[in-house]
Amino acid sequence: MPILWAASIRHLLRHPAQLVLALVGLAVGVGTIIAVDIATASSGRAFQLSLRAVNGAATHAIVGGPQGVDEQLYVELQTKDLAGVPVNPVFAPVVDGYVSVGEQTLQLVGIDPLASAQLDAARTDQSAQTSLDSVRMLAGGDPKDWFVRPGAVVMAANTARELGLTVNTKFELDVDGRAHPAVLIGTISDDQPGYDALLVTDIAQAQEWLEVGGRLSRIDVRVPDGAAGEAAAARLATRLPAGARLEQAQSRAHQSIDMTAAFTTNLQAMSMLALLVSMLLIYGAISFAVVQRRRLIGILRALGVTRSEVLTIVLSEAAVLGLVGAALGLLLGSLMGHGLVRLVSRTINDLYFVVAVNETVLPASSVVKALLAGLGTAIAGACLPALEVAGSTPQLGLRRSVLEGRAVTLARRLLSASAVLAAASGLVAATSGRSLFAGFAALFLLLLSAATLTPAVLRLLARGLARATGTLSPIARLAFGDVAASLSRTGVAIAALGMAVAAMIGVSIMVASFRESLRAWLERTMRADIYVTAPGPGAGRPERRIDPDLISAMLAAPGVTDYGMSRRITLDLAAGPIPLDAIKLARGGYANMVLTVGDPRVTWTAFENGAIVISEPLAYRLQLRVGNELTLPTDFGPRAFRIAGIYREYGNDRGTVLMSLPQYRRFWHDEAITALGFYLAPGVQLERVAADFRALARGRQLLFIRSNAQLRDLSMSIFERTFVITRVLYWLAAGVAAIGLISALLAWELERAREVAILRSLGLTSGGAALLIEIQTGFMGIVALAAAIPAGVLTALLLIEVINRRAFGWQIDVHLSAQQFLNALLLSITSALLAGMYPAWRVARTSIAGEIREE
Amino acid sequence: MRLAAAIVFSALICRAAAAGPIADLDVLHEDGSEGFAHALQPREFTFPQDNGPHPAFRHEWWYVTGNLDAVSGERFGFELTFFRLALAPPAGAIPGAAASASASRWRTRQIYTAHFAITDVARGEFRFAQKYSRAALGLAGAQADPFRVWLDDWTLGVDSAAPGAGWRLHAQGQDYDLTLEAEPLLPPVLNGEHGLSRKSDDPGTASYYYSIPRIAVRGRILRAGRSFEVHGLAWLDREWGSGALGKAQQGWDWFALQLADGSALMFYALRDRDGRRDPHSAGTWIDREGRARALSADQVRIDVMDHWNSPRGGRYPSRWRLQAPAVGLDVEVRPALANQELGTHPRYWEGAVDVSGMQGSVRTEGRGYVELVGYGE
Repeated sequence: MPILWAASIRHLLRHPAQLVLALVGLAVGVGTIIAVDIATASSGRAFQLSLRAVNGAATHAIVGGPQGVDEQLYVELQTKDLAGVPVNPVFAPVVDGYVSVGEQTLQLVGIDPLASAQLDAARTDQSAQTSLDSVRMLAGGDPKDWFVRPGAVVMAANTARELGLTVNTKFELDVDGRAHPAVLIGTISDDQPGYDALLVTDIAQAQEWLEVGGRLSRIDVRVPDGAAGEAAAARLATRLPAGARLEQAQSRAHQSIDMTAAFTTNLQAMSMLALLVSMLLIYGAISFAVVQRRRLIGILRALGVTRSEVLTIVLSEAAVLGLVGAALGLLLGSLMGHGLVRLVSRTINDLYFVVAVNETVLPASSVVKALLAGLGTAIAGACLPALEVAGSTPQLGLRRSVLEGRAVTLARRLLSASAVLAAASGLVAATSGRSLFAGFAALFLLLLSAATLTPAVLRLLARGLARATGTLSPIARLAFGDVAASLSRTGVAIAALGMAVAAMIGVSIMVASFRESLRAWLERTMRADIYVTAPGPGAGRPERRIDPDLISAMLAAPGVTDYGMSRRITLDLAAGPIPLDAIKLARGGYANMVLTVGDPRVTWTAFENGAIVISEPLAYRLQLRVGNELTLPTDFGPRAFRIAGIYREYGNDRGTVLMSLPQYRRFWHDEAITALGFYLAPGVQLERVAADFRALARGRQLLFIRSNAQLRDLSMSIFERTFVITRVLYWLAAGVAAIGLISALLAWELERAREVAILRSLGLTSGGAALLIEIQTGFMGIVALAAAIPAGVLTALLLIEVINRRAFGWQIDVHLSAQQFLNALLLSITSALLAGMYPAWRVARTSIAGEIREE
Repeated sequence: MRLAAAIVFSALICRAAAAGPIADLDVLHEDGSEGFAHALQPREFTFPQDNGPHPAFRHEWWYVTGNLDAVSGERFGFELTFFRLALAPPAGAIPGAAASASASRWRTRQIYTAHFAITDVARGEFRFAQKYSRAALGLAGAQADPFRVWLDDWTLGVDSAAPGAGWRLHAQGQDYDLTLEAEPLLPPVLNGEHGLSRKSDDPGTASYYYSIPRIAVRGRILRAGRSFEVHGLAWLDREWGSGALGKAQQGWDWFALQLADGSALMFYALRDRDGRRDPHSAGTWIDREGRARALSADQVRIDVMDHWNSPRGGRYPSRWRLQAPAVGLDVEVRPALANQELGTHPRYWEGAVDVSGMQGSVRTEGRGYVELVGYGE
């Protein structure tokens, strides 16, 4: 046995290029998975920590409508004996909202440190004295300042450094377009995690800044663990007034995390793609390593080495390769993760909630995943060639023609396998109902089908071309004939490339279709000339509102003929937070709304009479139909609203509820307006009116005043940002495929160096030899592209009709254009030509004599 | 003599800031009392006004301790204390603060904290609880007429739901829930020099101090769902000021003894850092008719007979012989339970005691409360 191992190691060491390329491919595949893991886990953890940073000991929270709960409820809970509640819950009030300091958006959290301290102390069941985590945030500052100094705030030391603030520096913060003076009275040390996106202040200060006097965002509650605590919570829930309700703290945290579930699933699927591609790469590398040693193995077998010994040695090589690849992948993934986390957290901030990720975490499960992925991929990739070489009889093993013969049979078989995979993909997609996971399974089946199709197409086309060009040029004939006859070496690399290209085409079409649908939707729905919105993050935050006096002034401005207005808030449904848009449209405004279900006349009449209209994602997610009722938490307690229609909306992947403004004001004590759209008289200069508006707002409130076109551009740029990660990931997968191709071609060329040398001795110039190789590789690239185009279109359809629908619930119109295939063309041809370069260069400068000395 | 409260209070606010500078709020050793009124001269006390808060002063407390007997034979002791602390003088509007129209109702310059402790002699258990709140939105506060001081649902004074009735006292903590009707048996007794209690030579350290040494209480204790009818005798201490403790002072031992014949003794022994009794220690003797007589440091001799080691660290005196020849008193004072330490920060011992010995030539007995401050580290 030792001699077998020695032979194996010597072989691997003698062919380092092959080894290195296979390892790089595997490392990139594993690394992509790890990077995505790191990015999503870090964002999730940062968010969880920020939730726990304030009143982390809370088991429940009392929440209300968009305006929160009345502060008097807190007073009653604190000062009245809660008759019938067996264990005393501990309460702590919170007022929160978003503010900006310079360019940075922070969550303003107003607390009562005394109440928070007692809530925290209740966790340890100690006297309140022993644990005052919440007040610890005062550390470094003068506690008197906390209560008495106007504008006193505390933030993480990290954040203060980023903003260039030190203790006792005064600065301005911006709430809803209004500037307020603030002063940093203390910082929270960096070893206390979760405060990075928070600005902590006294509850009184928060109420004043956010202009929510008399209201609390929520009341955090802690009841003891166990049955007594649960009973207390249950009793407490029944004693709350209409419009307030008790929620579990855990479920509140989960809701926010769940919001990003579809998003992270997509990321993970994209990272799987890179690994899948690398699996084919390993297959190629191992089978080549085996082919190269076919003589050696044949001799060993003839000398009495058993099949299982050969199998063991080949699989062991793969396992070592897998482990090393996994280790390198972990390293690479950690590096990539730091970059990716930025992209992920930015997308989360754009779409979901404010989170600051200053720390990346590598989940332990990811390390295991990396090892399994590396090992599994390598062994799975090596299985086929290992079985093959072990299974062949000693003499046959010596002959390459046998292998090529097998490859030909294999290519034929693969053709049928491809058909089966495609059919399976269709079947899975059609029968799996709403499962997003099954949707991705169908996607991978389809991509595998594309992969298995490519070698067969390659062979067919190569043979056809060899025949067709044979009369014109012997070199061309030689080139194509050679390609057709060398499937054992190049087939897998081409398959990998085909799969990556198919994925790229699919994603390109999907993104482009989405973009076009979004553009068309924006153009149809955004008809007003000027849009005015209250600034600030968090689309559904109640503190976003436009000064009422300013509204009247703007409406009276010359040139304004009509207007629409809306109030956007966020409702906490059992299914998670959902935005509610209360709208009053301009004359004829309903014509601009796209109903996907419902007759416009019937729907909008019902809407004016109090019914609601919901967006596609919401309808899909909650499985709601027209005619159903949706219960919303109003200020008068839960109320059921009839659904009169379903409309198209790409603004929110969680779904949106649309309600008429008068109806909203009947059920919520809220007269505020978040956004306005103004229609101008014909001929009126848009810039002039916008300037008038700015003059009106100056000194009163900072407003976003944008033209229709600006707002559309803004929406489109957010859209583009969202898909940056997708692009990064598919380029990674493509990179793995390109490496695979280079590695395969290199192997092939090295192997037939002698062949080429003979050709050269027969008169082929060195330039001709290089050209021969470039023609061959370029041809392979074109074949990969040709096979990938139909598969890519199918992939796009699957992404649009199955994946997007299941993940987000919206419908996208398919848009096809040549543009979408450009990347794929670029990728396949460039990587193929690049892959051919080194072998071509090598061949051109090889000494003929050296190569054919044996002959 | 309840400066203990002040330490506790100052510490609680800045407990958090254990590593940070807390000097500004350390009521005991701090001079930042500009803008506050000071107890410099004896003053005219008027009731019920002086039962209520004195916001011109920086700190103030209402301190009730008492011994209770259940109809079923069990014995209990209790402490319920409310402290008020002003973070800033009640001057005009805070410069730069939001206009008063939009000012939050949570804005405050005063904070309240309260301690509640129960000594369950039969079970040998001692429990304490603590609350804090800002003086805003009616969450905590004090008023003179009708008298009431409260923090959350812990209250002392006239029940707002039943005006016209007597005082009511209510608090609940871990496992224990106390509700008592309270009726003062004596008018307020002014301690020190007509109510001006000097703690050191520095005039700024004085406070105004009065007591109601005998208050009849009756009500119930709920212990883990079981109800006990109780009655007994309580003591109210009231003190307010703006000054700090003298720099050399370490702590004190405070005695409030209620004797069987209706007389009572209050004495606080201030200890300097070198362990010696401070000459500003003082007390008051109240005879059975309620007449007060001031006692100076050298008129009361206290010998420690025993010690108790706290499991939290620190060694407390635990049994005393107290002699006041001027009023013919020679008694032994024994804790009803060794461990009556509140694990607050800083820690202090406040517990029910038994008294027995001679009053003149007559054997006497009694009960009371003792407070020991400055022993836990």
